Amino acid sequence: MRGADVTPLLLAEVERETDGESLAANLALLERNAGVAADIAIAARDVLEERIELGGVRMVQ
Amino acid sequence: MHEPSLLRILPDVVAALSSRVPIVALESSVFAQGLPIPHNRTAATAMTRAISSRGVLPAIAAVVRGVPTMGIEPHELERFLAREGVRKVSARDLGVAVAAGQDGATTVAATLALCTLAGVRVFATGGIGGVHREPSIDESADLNELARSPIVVVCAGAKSILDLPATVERLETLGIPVIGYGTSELPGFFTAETGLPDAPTHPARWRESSALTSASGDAARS
Repeated sequence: MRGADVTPLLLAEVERETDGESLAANLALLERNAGVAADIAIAARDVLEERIELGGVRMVQ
Repeated sequence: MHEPSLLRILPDVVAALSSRVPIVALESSVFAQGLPIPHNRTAATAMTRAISSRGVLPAIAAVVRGVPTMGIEPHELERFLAREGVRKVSARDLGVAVAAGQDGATTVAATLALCTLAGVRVFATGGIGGVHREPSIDESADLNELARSPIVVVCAGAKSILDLPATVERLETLGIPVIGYGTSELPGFFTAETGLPDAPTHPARWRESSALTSASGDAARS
């Protein structure tokens, strides 16, 4: 066992050893991270728009 | 002869890019390899809903029958959730997956490459790859791809099975900014604390989170 197959195997083993608690945590953090990423994407867009308004960004086609 | 296109971008994603609607990319390997059925569907639904409920467009990256894609269609996602005949595709496997014309579920590294091509700047996942405990020469391609991608990756640290102190050292060597989000430590995926220091920046405007953000390019400087 090596390379790309290692990680899925180890994670499945962690899940067995924790009686599924790791799976619940995994699902929760995935959803949480998606929400945080969305907030960051909004903040990044707002920063870009502020820069455009200030004339600090030149849009290049 | 039919030439496969370099990148297929879902029309919704093209529209969002041109009208500056924020987009969050998701990897497909977490659904096709990382999580078992039926939990992979639960995760896909919860993640896309968490994004779209904030007025942001979710876009799942994958290789769809040999075509690198940013934003797969719902019926395509079904094949990845079924986990049948879907290979795991890292950055170096993209070309092989294209040539083989197969479905490929993209890892963090391959998703970063597709984000860069598409111009999507924010990407959410569970945990990034890093340096393995044994042998330590086994290091995820995620790290190299993070170093050269101008993408913010929101994650709960590196995967718990890794050598986290060694991973922290490699992140530093590769010049990958690490931003603690509501924490001053590197999260350990399943644990909020690891005792490992990160590089706290000023994420106050992004509100609370225990996620680790790895960023480079504009996002790191904003």
